[in-house]
Amino acid sequence: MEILRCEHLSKVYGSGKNQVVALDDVSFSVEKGEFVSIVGPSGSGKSTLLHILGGVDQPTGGKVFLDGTDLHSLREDQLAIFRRRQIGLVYQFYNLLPVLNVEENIVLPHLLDKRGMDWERLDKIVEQMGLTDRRQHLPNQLSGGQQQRVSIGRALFNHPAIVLADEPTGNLDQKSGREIIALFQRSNRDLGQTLLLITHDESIALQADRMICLEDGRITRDERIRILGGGQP
Amino acid sequence: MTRPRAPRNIVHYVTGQYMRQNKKRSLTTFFGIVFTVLLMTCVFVGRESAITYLEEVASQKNGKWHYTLYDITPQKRAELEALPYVSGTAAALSLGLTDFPASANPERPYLNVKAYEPQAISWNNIRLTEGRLPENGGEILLSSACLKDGSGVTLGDSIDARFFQRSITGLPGADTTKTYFPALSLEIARGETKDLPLTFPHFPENNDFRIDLLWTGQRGHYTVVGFMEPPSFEPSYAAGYTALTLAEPDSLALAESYSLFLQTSTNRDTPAGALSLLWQIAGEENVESNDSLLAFSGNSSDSTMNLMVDLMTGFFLLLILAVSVVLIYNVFNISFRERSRYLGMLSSVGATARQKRSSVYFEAGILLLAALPVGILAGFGVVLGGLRIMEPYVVQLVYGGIQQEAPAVSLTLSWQALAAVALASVVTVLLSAFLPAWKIGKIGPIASIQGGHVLRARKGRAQTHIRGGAEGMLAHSFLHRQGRNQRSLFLAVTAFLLVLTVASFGVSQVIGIIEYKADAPVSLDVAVQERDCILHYDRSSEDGPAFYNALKQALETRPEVTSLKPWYSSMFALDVDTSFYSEEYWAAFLDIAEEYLGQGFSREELEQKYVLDRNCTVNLLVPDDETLRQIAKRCGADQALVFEGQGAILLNEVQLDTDSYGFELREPRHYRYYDIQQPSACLPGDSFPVTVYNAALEQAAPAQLTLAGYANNDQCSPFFSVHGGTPWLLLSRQTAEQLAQGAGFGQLADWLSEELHIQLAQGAEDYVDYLRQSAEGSSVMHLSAWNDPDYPLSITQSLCAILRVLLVAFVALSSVVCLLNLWNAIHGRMLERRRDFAVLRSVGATQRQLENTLVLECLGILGKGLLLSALLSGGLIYLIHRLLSQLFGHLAFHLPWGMLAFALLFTTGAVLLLTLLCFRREKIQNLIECIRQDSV
Repeated sequence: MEILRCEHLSKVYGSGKNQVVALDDVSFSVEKGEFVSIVGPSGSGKSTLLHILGGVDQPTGGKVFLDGTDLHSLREDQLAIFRRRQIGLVYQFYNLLPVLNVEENIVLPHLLDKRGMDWERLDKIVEQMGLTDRRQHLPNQLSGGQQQRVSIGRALFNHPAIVLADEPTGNLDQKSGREIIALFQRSNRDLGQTLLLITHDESIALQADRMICLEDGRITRDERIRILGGGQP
Repeated sequence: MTRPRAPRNIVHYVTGQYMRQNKKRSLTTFFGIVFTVLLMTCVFVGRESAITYLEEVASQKNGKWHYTLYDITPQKRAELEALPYVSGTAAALSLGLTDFPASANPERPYLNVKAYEPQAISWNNIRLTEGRLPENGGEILLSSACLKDGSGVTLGDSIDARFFQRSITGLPGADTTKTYFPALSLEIARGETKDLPLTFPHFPENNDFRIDLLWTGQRGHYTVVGFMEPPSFEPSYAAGYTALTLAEPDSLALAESYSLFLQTSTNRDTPAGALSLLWQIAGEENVESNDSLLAFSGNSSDSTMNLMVDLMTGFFLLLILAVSVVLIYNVFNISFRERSRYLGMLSSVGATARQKRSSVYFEAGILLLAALPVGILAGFGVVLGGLRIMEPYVVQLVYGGIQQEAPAVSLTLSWQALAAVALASVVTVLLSAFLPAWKIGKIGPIASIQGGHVLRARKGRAQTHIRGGAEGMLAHSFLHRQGRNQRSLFLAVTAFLLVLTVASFGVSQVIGIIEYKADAPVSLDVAVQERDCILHYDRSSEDGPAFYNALKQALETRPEVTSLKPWYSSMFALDVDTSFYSEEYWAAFLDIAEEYLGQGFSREELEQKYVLDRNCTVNLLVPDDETLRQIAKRCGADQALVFEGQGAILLNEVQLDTDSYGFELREPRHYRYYDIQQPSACLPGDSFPVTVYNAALEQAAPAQLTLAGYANNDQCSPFFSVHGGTPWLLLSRQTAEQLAQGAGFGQLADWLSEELHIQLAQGAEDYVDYLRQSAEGSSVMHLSAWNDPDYPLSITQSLCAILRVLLVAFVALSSVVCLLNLWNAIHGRMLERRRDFAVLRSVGATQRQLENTLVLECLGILGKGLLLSALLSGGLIYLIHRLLSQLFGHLAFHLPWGMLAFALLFTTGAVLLLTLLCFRREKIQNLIECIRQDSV
């Protein structure tokens, strides 16, 4: 079942001589429960694509359908509500609110949706993220890996239709990076969570079900990955 | 290829670049400093200009001299001129009266000739109406009053003078033992002879006294060279018109004594004891002060006025300094994070703490340099505008309602005032920049770059708080875990509330003192509502009651009149025993006596020595029964006692001050004012003896009244208000009539003054013209009506109006500074939190949710600010109250609740509006850009 579809996406920055084409006629779709990695060199348009898919940036042309909804036809506040319910965003620099502790950061989208506190869900996420002994710590009391786990917990809390991760391991050491990828894999495998992950690390990209390569804003390759030798990272 | 020159000071260069890149922040700081300088200019230049202007207006009235000393010998003049604070003297020799055959007014048959030194002519505002000033002792200038009276004297006419003084002798066969001239403070007994002042009127021959001319032997021949407006010292009743000639040095040297006009040096340098020294040299009775001029220059013989001028200046200066320091400190503090980043970079490549500190001082200095001229010029504009607004009140104050052309408003600039503005501004800016500079100097390079100081690493856990949903959680977290970032706004809110509350309290107290001091010692002011008229009549006139009763009777049947209510009142109507007054009253009375006598009298001694027959008096008011019933209801008095028993309501409104008492013609050491909270020792239900004195029968009738309750001016305000040092009793008409009968009065109006309160029917407003004609036509009645034209303002009203203008101007200017401060704090906070808002938007927060969060945060900050400002302003208000009580006596502690409520509402409204405005203005268009900006 198709969960995400983008059609002829383009994004152009500047004008005239200073014009930069970040995305050029990008079209693809993602099935529900799929784990897709997007790879490409720096400046290829990966992050721009992810931000447009996440509804935090506007395309110059084209459309994005998420769970059947045309994202960019929504008004600003409708889009915000849609984001908190259907999209989980994970950034390279975590983007946690420094004044909220681990629990508060995780439940933030849930509370923004004016739903009652789901302590059970919180306990489960905190446990899954390995943050049980860090529940009431502020972000500046956590390591980079821990902060990224909080960020993933926040993205997963509302059972979004899709989780979009922008180089989630880019700011972490190798060990922490591996742990984060394992977390994503588990959520994909155990919960059927649709994942779209941007990375320029080919070894991480190869752990997905499918890999899309971007170069100069165009898709140059889109292929399923055949896992050799048991498929464990 | 030429290379660009390397900057001389890299820290200053980088700071300059920072200022250019952060134009908005730099402009806010700049305008903050401009306002500081503007306010300082208002204080220093404004004060000087206002005083000079007030002096100019005042000197138009009596002249530019500060003191006139009479009967001064040449030796005394030398002694006076040697005083360090005497800047100039001018002699005026009174030559005496001479016959003026050209006079057309039989009551003014003389000329009062004076020889003035040129300076004396200029100091006395001699205004020519024709001709020129005298240039020698043979030329003379006449008061144009003689021309107005029909004299045919013209320029060039000659006047031969043979001078004389006058004396008065009580004739042995006079009808009375003494003849009184109350307006001239003169009494003459049978057979007694006294010298007369030159301004004494001319009286025809009569049986009581005789006026003799005493020839001085001096003669003169003068040519009339000009006419002048009648000088201020020439009363219209005087027997002689004023004539001025020039005093030749020879004539002064030959004179035994003369009058001396004296000016003190730069006004406020005059020592406090200056007047006493003048008294010592010239004799107390020979020194006259030009009080309206001295009052404005802060040298008044009335020390209260001097103190007021000093207090107001100091008070405003301190508040302005505090507001400015908070504003500029906030500006530097808000830019702390941005600044610490670039300074952290510099620090990591070797910039010392001193260099980092110098960055802050450099920015402050550059901005101050640019802001000084702008602020001073803007200040000039504000001062001129303020003076223009005050102009009508000043003229009113000095001339008491007489139409006068005021001198043009202008600025008075002195280098001292400008230096004080510059110095105060530099001190303010340095004080404000000190703390941020010190903090910047202390921060290490890594902490600076990382911005780690913004949220200090906490030890321990942060309790999860999810009450109030996402907005509640966010607001709580921002407030409690990022308190340092809210400090600027918190300080701005606190400063705003503090300024508004402290300024309003301070000025309301000062206005209270002036209002009391300048008001009549005892007064009853009836509140006149729409279509209300009050008819009074002259009790001393034989026809008064007849005219009054006839009109009253006629009005009873008129359809235009809806109600007629007679009220009765009298000052000092009843005698009460000294035990009627409370300990509080007596303590204040003892303090006042002590200020005069300084002999440490006990209450007992004071009563024996100074209270006649150990009795005191109370005033009496007998309103109509309906009004009294409403008052009794409002104050909770026992109505049955008031209307059926001998009940009285006592008004708890008594103020004593040193001005309303006099002991042995002495001067009090200080001005003291006491607002008595509980003037009587009687409690509701207590009976107390009273005495009604009937002067016609020369008999005193004792009676007994019972206290039915206490009322105050607030409770009586719809009907009347009272003021003064003697308590007022309210009686029902029935009780008052019983007392009057007991004392032998035929009717109540024989004892108390009667006035008729008339209420006109709706649509019958024009009937007031008929009433007015009837009242004024009789010449023994007077009508006050709701639509009376505005009377000229009293001195109190003018003074208070000036103070209120100052208060409004100060509060308005301070509010602008505080608003700027708020805007700056809020704007800075918004800029700092753009990334947080972007993150929140990216995880699904709507615009409304963010606004709700901000509103909750603002309310939290307002609550904290309110708490701190309540504590601080409570302390300051207490200190101000203590200080004023120390200086002026016991003052009632009245908080201006209205102003406080306004301050709270205004601040709350300003914070919320500015926050939402700022948030919407800084709306995040590109989430990713905002998130990235601070993430990288």
